[in-house]
Amino acid sequence: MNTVKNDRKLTVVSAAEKSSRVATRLVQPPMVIGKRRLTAAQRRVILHAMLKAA
Amino acid sequence: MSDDARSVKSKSTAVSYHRRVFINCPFDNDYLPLLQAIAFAVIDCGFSPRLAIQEVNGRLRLEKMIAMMRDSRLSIHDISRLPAAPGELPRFNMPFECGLFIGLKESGADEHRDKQFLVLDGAAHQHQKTMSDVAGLDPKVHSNDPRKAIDAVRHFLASELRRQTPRQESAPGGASIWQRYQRFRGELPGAVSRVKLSANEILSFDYLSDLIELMADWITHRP
Repeated sequence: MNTVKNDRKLTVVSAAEKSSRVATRLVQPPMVIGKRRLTAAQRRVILHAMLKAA
Repeated sequence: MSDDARSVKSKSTAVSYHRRVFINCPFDNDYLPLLQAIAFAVIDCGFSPRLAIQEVNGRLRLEKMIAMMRDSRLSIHDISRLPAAPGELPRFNMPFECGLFIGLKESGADEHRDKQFLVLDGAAHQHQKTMSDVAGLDPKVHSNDPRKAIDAVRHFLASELRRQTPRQESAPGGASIWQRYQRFRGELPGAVSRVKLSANEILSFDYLSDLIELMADWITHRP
């Protein structure tokens, strides 16, 4: 068993879970990508402006 | 069916299995212009792009990708990426994922037998040195030019449309897709300024999912 510190408390993590996290890190691309940041309302505003521009 | 496959299926029931296109390519800024053009061409031809970056959560990335491949009849694999500098390590993800997809297709399972795929490469005959196993599969060359990538994707999907819906649907030509893509790109900067974004931001990787949704909405309104 290993301990991982998060913001508020120490969480006990099983060896299997720790191994899974390591595997995830190894196969992920080296950058944080694909973060959705726009809201549906913002997308509607953009689309409306694009369609109006024609 | 695994939990992963079920999960992906439940999120994508609106689009038929036959219209889903799994895109396997480098996810970096150098490739981004090609990826954006490919995504636009896929949507403009009436299909739905699937990228591993669209589902970013705690699940193991490999399991997510395999679930997406299972749920997509079609796929596009770009094997063009080479180490940029001497001493830089090559990335094996794209050839690996291409092999996974072909493995699914050739697994003998009835539900995967009809899968079809397109292999893209950066230069003519490059695959003969990097991945000669695909030599007979006729990889298409894009020369890192989005316009050429659109043509390759269009021809692949046009043949799929002929196969899936003979004499009912046809894909727009490459020149038409390119013109519409330029129009979309031209209208984007002014529009995103309404939500206090710059063109550079909306065209960055951080907003790729949003950009693809905007493409789909725009194409729906401008058939």
